[in-house]
Amino acid sequence: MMRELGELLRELWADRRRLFLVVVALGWGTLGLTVLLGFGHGFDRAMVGVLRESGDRMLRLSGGATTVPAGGLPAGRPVPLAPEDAAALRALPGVRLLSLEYTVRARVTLGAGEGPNARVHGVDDAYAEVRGIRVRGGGRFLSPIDGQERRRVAVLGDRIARDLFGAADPIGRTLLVSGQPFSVAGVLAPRITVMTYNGQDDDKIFVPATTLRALFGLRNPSFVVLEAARAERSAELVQEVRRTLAARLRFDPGDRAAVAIRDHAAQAREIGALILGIRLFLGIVGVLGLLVAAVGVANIMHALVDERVREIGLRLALGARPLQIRARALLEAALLVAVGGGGGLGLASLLLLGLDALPLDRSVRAYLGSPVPSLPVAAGIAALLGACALVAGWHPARRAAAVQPVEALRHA
Amino acid sequence: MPEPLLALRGVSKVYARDGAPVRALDGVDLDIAAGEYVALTGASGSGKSTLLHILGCLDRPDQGSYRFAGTEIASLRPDALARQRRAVGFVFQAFHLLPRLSAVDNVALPLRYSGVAPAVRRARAVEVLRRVGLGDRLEHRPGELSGGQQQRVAVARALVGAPSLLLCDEPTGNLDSRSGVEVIELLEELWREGCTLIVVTHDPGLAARARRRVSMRDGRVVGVAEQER
Repeated sequence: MMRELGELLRELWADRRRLFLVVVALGWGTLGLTVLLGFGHGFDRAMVGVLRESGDRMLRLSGGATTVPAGGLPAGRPVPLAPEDAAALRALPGVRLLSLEYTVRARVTLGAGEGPNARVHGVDDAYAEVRGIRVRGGGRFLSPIDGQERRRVAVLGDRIARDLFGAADPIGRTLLVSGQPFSVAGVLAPRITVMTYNGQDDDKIFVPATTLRALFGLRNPSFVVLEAARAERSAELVQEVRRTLAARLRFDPGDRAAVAIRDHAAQAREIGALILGIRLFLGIVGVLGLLVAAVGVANIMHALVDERVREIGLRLALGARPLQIRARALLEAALLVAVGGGGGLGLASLLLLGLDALPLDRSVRAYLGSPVPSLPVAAGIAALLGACALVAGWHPARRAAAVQPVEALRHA
Repeated sequence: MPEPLLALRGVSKVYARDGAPVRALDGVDLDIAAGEYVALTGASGSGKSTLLHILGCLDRPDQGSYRFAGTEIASLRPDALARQRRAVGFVFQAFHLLPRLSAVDNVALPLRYSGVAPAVRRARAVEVLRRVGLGDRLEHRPGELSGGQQQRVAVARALVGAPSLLLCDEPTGNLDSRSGVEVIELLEELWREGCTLIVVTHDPGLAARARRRVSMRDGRVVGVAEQER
């Protein structure tokens, strides 16, 4: 068997000029597919990760104004959300976690001198979990006690931490927010979110809600964020939240502008559907591409058999069994696919690994993902190519074995 | 009387050429004993090549019976037919060598199909190539050899499997007279060693060398002549 293969290799090598194009076509097809699917896979993984980090079961509430008269009050009345309203929502069974969110812009410095005008958010300890925020090793997010004791602690976004402290470790250091000292308790892990509001979290400073309220004399939070106990029932929760607030704040439950409710969970579902669509599209493109490659291989195998009718006839005349002729044609197809497909896979892997090594911006990387040729993708392509070889080789092989030696020799 | 090596009874073969049926063989009866030297002669289209192809198991009769060493060829399945073909050495007018293979690889090809180990194949191929006088052309490709040398490679290929039957279709048709004589002398040498030799030719000089001459016309055997030399 190995010897048979060796002789076949030698004969194919003698035919290399003619087979070169087949191999190149196969390699090119595989390369394209692998890179395409590698990117798709990387993008896919990145999106799922980004989505999870964006808080994919979150509702975000902010006060608005009525557009219809309700409770004996005219339209156009502002509807502020107060901490007590948030407390009422916390009691709803569909709400798992809840946090107030106050927002101010304040001058932030490390002492004397200039500093950026940064976004400072006052939030509760539950905020990190609701938003899917993770803190870099060595630090922590705000704790319940921070809130209860109105501690002056701050958790920094990744970018602003670097802006303020450079390469130095900010944990335990002190910064001034509007001249008031805060101790740094943690720094966020760098993150890119698809569902942001008020800018990227990397640029924000988080302090306890109670501390910020007292410091700036605030009454009502800009937002109330809460996490649905069940993400898939977020739409029902939106209704329930609206009914609860309508009763408390005396607006019409049908008046959607009275309180703005952003359903991040629904948004996440939409993005999830989009990802599924992209996945499906890439899958279809991939399968079509492989089909085209398979048809190409089949075509070339046909041409090869046609060209070799005389040779096959001669081999039969010299005593070759039809099975040997068929096995040879199949082996030839398999070999072409292996060389072309293998080459394409190898090149694609190199290309993707090279791309992965490029110093791309972090946000680009986050959306692109790491388009590494994953094992399932490579295995899938290999399996499909094997099937192509079978399909492509089978018919010509049968035709080859059916050649009548005398016909072939006569038409020489 | 022992059974002849080859026995044809009422063998007919019809081809469709341009839609019209052509009777290439029309009820041929012929016996050839082991060790005979037979020339098949006749004009172009007389059916002599078709007869040779049937004798070599490259083609099957439409009617009649062909027995090769007692075996009815029509009853053979493809693999058995392939085995039967290996007992026959074929030399064609157009040589039919594989252009991409060296002389030694071309000669070794039939052994590959009879399952001989590669090292043995090569040794045997080299041996027969030396015998036909091409010991110094082993690695040459057909394109690098003269017509006479190519036909000698083809003869070497035909005899490498030590066949009991050698079938030659116009073996000298594409050669100059000197190369032609060399090739035919080589074939006769094999015949003298015990091989059954059947040569298709329309060269009267070549036909005259055979011990028996079978003349054909319009697919029929029209004359059988024993010849003395």
